[in-house]
Amino acid sequence: MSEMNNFDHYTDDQVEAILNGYDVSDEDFALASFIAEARAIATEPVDAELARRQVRMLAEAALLTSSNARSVRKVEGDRSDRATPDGIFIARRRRLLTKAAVVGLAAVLMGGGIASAATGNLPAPAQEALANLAARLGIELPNPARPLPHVAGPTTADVKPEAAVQAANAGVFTTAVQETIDEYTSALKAWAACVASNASERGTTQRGSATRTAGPFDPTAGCDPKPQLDVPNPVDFDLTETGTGAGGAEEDSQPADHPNGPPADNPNGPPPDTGPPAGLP
Amino acid sequence: MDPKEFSAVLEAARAGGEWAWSRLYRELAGPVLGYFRARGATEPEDLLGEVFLQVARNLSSFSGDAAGFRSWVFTIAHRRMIDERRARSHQPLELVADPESEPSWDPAVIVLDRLGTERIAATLKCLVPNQRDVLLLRIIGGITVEEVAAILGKSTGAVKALQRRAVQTIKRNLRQAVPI
Repeated sequence: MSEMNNFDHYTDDQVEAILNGYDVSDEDFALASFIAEARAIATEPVDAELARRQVRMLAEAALLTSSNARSVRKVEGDRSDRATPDGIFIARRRRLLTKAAVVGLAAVLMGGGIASAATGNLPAPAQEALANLAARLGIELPNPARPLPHVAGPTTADVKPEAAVQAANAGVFTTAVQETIDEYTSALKAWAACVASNASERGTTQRGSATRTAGPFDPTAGCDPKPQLDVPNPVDFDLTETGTGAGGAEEDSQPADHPNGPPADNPNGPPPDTGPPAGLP
Repeated sequence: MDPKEFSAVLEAARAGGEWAWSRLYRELAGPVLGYFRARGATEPEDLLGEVFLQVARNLSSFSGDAAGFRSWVFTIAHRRMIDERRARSHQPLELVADPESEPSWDPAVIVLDRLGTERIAATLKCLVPNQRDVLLLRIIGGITVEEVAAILGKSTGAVKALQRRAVQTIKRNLRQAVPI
């Protein structure tokens, strides 16, 4: 027995060698084979359908988490900023920025027509995307990529009747967009809470009753359908696309970074495909 | 994954980029699932989902490189495994038939798929839990002694001693199981 113990005694270096699969003596062949077999478990592929479902869930969870984190920061910022009149303006501006960011997030989630515009490091690029969209309609919104030069506002005499109507329509449109975003955000939160509740309940049931349910787990079962973002159409508000920067806005609106696509060779260039990423709902 | 690429992937994952999550998942889901299987988890796929969900929730608090990320994910996996073990020890397990749980219909394929993992798990039963944790985190997790020490809350010396004894025990066990 003592012979066996001496025989089996390893130094730390020998153990490292065995664990890493090199310098293995004939005596340790069975041991090395076992370790190689154990290591091979890590390379076994995960079921493709399971992987696809989980990856999608993770992307959405990350989106919701980052969105919530921004909301908390916004509230904290609002409290400190409201001490001064300038602070009130900043707080309002931040609310607008956050809502625009939600548009970007929603666009990424839905993979819709404006998804390509809502790319980049959120929330700034989302803001940029909305600002670019608004710019095409003649509405000026804060754009982190292109700070607007300070210009003197037009006098009453400068404002033409058509422009006044356009501006009024633009205001109504902006309000409608904000209301749509508010409704969508509430619905999305409710839906996410329902899905999270299902997932949590599933975990509790699985280990609580220690039984396995038949069939694949659907976390959306029993929840309302996932809310869809229906952005108001500018055409319904008599807004034409002849506003400022209509010609160059398309090219300029491409953000510097594209978080929802693989990094291209040139990370500062526009994304190769401006359509929704494959696999998104 | 080189540091620059990892940084880009991480940033995109924080923003909810599905491609980035796909990269992270492809990189780590196999080892994490293998870790759960080798530890004898009853629902390894569910645990895998829970681990990655926690990663998604806490990703904003993570800072570090690819190796640090791997270590962080396995820290979460290890804690999940402990929770599962505790829950299992308190409640008896009743298994019911689940014909849809197996992706393959061919019994031979299922058996061959499971055999390797089961043999590994059975052999590892000769180890005490700490030795098993160290060995699996080193072999399947592919993480260093120092990182394992951090995950388990032990010194590097203790981890080295545990893995040395684990290797020796397995060698003895294999020799007894298959007499030459």
